[in-house]
Amino acid sequence: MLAYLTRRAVHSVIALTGLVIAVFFLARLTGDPTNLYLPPEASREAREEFSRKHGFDRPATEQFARFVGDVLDGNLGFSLKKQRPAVEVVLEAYPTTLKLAAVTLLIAISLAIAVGALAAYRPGRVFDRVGSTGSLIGASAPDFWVAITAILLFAESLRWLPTSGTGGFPYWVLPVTVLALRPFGLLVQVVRGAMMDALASAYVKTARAKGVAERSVIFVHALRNALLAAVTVAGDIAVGMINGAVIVETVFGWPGVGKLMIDAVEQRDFAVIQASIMITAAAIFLMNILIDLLYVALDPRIRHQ
Amino acid sequence: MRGFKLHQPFVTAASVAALTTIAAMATLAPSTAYAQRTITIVLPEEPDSLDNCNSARSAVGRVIRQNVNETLIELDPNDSTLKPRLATAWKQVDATTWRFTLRRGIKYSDGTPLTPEAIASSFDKALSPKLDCNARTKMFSGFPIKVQKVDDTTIDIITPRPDPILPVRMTTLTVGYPKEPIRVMNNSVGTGPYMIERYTANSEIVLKRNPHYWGKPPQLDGARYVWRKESAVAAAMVRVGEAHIATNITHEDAKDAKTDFAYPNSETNYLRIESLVPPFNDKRVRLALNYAVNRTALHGSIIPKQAQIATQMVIPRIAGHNHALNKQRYEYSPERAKKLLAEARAAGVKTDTPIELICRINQWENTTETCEAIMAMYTAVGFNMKLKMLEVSLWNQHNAHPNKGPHTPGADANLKNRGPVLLGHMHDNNVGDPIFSMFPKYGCKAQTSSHCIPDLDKKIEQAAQTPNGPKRTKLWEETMAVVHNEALDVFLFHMVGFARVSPKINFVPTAATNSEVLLEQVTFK
Amino acid sequence: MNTPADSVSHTPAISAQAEMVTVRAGLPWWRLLARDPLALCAAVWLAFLLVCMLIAPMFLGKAANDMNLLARNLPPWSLDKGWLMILGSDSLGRSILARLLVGAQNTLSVAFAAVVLAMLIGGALGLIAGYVGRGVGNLIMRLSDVIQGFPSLLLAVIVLYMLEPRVANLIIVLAVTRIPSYLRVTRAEVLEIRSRGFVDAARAMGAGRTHILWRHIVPIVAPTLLTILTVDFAIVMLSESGLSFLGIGIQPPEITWGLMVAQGRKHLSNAWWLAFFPGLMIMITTLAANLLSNWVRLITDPVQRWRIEAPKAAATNA
Repeated sequence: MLAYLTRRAVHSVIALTGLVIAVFFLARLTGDPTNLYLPPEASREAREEFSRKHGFDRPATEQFARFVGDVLDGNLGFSLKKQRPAVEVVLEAYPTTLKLAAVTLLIAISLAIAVGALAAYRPGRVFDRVGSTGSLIGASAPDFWVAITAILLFAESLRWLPTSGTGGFPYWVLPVTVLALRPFGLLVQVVRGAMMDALASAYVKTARAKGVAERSVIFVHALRNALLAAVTVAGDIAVGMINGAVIVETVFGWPGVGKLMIDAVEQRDFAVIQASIMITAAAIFLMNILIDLLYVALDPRIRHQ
Repeated sequence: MRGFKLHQPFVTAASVAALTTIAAMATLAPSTAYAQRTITIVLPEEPDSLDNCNSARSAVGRVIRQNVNETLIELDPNDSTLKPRLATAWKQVDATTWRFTLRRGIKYSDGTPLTPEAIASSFDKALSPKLDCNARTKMFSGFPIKVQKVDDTTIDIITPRPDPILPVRMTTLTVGYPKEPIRVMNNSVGTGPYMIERYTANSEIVLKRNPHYWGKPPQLDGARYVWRKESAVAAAMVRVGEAHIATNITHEDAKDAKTDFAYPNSETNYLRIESLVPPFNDKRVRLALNYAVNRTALHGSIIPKQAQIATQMVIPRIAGHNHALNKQRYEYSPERAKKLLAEARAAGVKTDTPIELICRINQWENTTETCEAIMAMYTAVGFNMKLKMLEVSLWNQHNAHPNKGPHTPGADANLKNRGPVLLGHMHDNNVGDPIFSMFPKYGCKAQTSSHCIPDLDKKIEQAAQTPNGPKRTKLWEETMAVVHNEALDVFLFHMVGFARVSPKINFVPTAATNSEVLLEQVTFK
Repeated sequence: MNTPADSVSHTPAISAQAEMVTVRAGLPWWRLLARDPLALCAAVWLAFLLVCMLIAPMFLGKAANDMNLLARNLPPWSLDKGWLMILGSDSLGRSILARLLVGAQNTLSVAFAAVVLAMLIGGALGLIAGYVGRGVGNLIMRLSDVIQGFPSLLLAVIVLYMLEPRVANLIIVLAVTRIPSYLRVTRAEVLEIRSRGFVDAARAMGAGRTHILWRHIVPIVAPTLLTILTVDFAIVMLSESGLSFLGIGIQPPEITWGLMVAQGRKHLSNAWWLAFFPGLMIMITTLAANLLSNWVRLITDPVQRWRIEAPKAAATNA
C-alpha cells in the first residue's frame, strides 16, 4: 500500500512538472501583455520599457529559468493586473470554488444515487424512463443559457430567489442547481448501470437465495456497487466541475477561482495563470489519490490485489 | 404490501440524500445586512486595484475618482469646462510653469492635512516610471512634471515642454496619500467625501463617509460596489431592488423608460483606413468606403437610437468639434460607391485587392453584429472583403502596428507582409481636448497613426501649441475638416452607454458616468 | 411468493436464459433499434441532422446570411414573411430556421471531427501504452496526466488565444482535451486482454505483435470506445457553446448553434427565441447522442442485451 502511494505521488509530481512547463510556454504564446497594460497611444519607448521591466523582452527559455528559480524559492510570481503576489490572489478565490464544488458534488452524488438506484430497480418502468431521461435533459442544456434563463425566471419575474452574488441559503440555490445538472445527469446513468449489473450478479442472487432481507441486499450489496461506480467517475466529474464553475461564477458573480483563471488568461496575467493552474492541478492529483484510497476502502477485492 | 416493502430502502436513501443536502446548505454563511442610506452599485467589472495612481482607468475611477481621491481641477462632463476642486485658481506663470492656489483647510480622511509636500509626494508616486500606473501611461508618459512649493497654499507645476493645456491634463490626476510606498495598493486614502471601509477581493467594496471632508456633507452614508459581467443580471438586480445603480447595461436590456437612462460616453467608433497602402491610398476608394455604409439603417437597430452619427473623431461637446461637418455627412449611396470604385479601377487602382475587415470582440455593444452588417454592405458594392473577429490581444497587434507601407516600423514580419486592413476601432476621448485624439490618430510620427498628410500634421502641431481659446478651437475644427474631406477614416457613431437607476434614488447619469460615479450627487427620494 | 426476495428473483434467471438464446440468435442492430422507441427517435433525429449538414448549406446558405435590418427580432410562429421566418428572425433580421439548419454543419462537424480525432489518437496511444514496454507506456500516461490536470475549458481558451478561432483550431483544441479518456480506457482494456489466455495462445502459435493487436485486441476495445465517443460528442458540443459564451469560440460569419445562443443571450429578456431555438437544438442533439450512447452500451453488453431483445419477457416478469 505504501509503495503504491509513493508511486502515485511520484507520478503526480512528474505530471505537475510537465504541466507547469506546458502552462508557462502556452501562456506566453497567447501574446504580449504590453498592449493590454498600456493605453493604445503609448509610445514605442514606453512599450519597450514595460517589456524590459517585466522581463518579456528576454527569450522564453531565460524567462522560464528565472521562473523555476523563483518557484524553488517559494515565489509564484507577481500579478500584473492586481499588482500583488499571485499566490495571494489565487488563495483568496479558492474557498468560494471549493465550497461551491463540495456542496454541488455532495448533492449531485446523493440525489443521483437515489434516482439511479430507484431507476435500476425497475428498469423500463415509468420512474426509470422519467428519471433517467429527465436527468439527461438537464445535463444536455448549455449551462450559461440555463443560468441566465433561471435568473430571469426565478429572480426577476417570480422574485423567489436573489439574482446573483454570495450570501445565505437562497443565494446558493441557483448556482448549485445549474452546476449540479451535468454531474447529476452523468451520475444517474453510471449508478443506474452499476446497480442493474449488481442486481443481476451472482452474489446478489446468492444473497437472496440465502434469504437475506431485501433491504440489506440492496443496501449492503447492490448499493455499494453503485457507490463504487459513482466514486470511479467522481474524479472526472470534479475536474469537469471546474469548467462549470467558470461559467457559473461568471454569470452569478461568484468570486471563485474558475472566473479568476479565465480572467487571468484574458488579461495575460501569466503569474496568476501559472499559480492557479499549479494549485488546481495539485488539488486534482491529490483528489485522485484520495479517490483511489476510497475505492480500496469500498471494494475489498482490490485490497487483495 | 409488496410495493411498500420494496420501496422502503429507497425512501430511506432519499431521506439520507435530502438530509445531506440540508446539512450542506446549513453550513453556508449567513447574509450580511447593510445600514440605511447606503446604495449598492453594480459595475461591469472588478477594479484591478484601488490605488489612487490608477484612477484614470475607468474600472478603478468609477469607485474612487472624486469619491475618495479628488483632482485639483474638475472637468464638467456636460460642457467640458474646468471647475475648481482642490485648487481654487490657476494661471500660467511662464511657458513651462503653471501656478495653482490650493483650497484651505483640507484634510485627508485620517486627519492629516493636505500640504504642497503631500501633493508632490503623491504625484511622484503616481507618475513613477517604476509603476505602470494609468495616471502616467495615459497622460504623462514621456512628459514628467515637477511640483514645487511656493507657500503653504500655492504650488507650481513645471512641465518639460510648453503645454498650453496643462490644466486639462490635471483633471485626470487625482491626489493620493503622501509618502506611500512605490507599489500599487488597495487602500487608497484621499480627501474626498468618502473613504474605503473595506475591499473584499473578488467580492465587494464598501465606502463610508469621510469625517474630515472639506465640502458640504453629502446625503448618502456610503455605498457598496459589486460587479456582474452579464448585463441582464446587473439590470435584474436593480429591477428587484438588490441594487440601486447598474452603470453599464446593454441597450437591449434598457427598455424601461422609467429607470433606464442613456448617457453619451465620449466614445466614437470608426473603421480605421490605412491610407498609405494601396488601394486605400486612392481617395476615390476611401470615399467609396464611406458612401457604402448605411449608417441610418444601423442607427436605432443594432446601434442605440440615442447614439449620434459621427463625422469626426471627437464628440460634440469638445471644443474643436466641427459642427458644420455634420451637415456634409457621407450619406449612404451604393450607386456612388460603385461609381467611385469603377473610376478608380479605370485609373489603374487594384480595387479587387483582398481587404480584411478586423473587429475586436465586444469592443462596443453589438460589435459583431455591426461588423457583420458593414461587411455585407461592402460586399454589396463590390469590395473584396473578409471579416475577422479578433480577441483583444491579436487585435491590438494590428492597432499598435498599422500598415504604413513598406517602411512600417516595429512590426513583426508577418504584419509587414499583410494586405490592407480596415480596422474596427473605438476611440474614447473623455479628457476634453482634441490633441488626445488628433495627434495619435493622424500625426505622421504617432505610432498608432495609419495616415501621414504633411499639411495636416503641421496643422495638428500648430493647434497643439496654441493656448486654449477661440483660436485653438478654430484650428482644431480645420483639422477635423481636412480628415473629413480626405475621407481618411470611416466614422460611424458617437456612442452612448446605458445605466439603470432605481426609482428610489435621484441620480442622472452623465457623460462622465463611464469613468466616475459621483456619490455626492446621489440622493434618496 | 410473498417474500420480497422471491418476487424479484425471476428477472436475473430469465436474463441468463434470454442471453443464451438471443445473443446466439443475434438480431440485426436495426431490429434492436426498432424495439427501443427512445433510441429510435434519437437515431432518426441524428440522421435528419446529417441530411441537413449535407444539403442545407447548398439551399439555405444565402437565406442564412441575408440580413434585413427592418425585420429584426421577428417573433416566431408567423408565416407573414415566408416559411423561413417561422422560427422568427435574429438581431440582423436573418432567418433563424435557415441559420439553425445551416449551422448544423459547423456544429456537428466540429463535434464529430473532434471526438473522432480524440478517439483515434487516444486509442492509438492507449494501445501503445498498454502493449509496448513500460517506459513508453509510463511516458504516455504522464502526458495524459498533464492534460487531465488542465481544466479543459481553460486549455481551450489558452490555445484559442494563441491561435485564431478557426474551425480547424477549435477541432484540435477540443480533441486534445478529450484524448485522456480514450487513452485510459484503451490501455486498461489492453492490459486486461493481454492477460487472457487467447492472446498467449496466439503468440504461442507465432502471431506477430501487429497481428495480435489488430485481430484480437482492437475488435474487443472498439465497442467501448464507440460508447465513449457518443457521450463525448455531447460533451464537446456543450464545450463549444461554452467557448462561444466566453467570446472565444468560432466567430462570425461562421454559424454554429453555440454562437447563436451566445449572441442571442443579450436578447433573452425581450426576444427569447434568439437564444431559445439554438439552445433547444443543442439540447435535443446532445440528448439524442446520450440516448444513443446508452443504447449502444446496452446492446454491446451481453449481460443487459436481453432487455431489448426480449422486452415482453422482461415486462411480464419484472
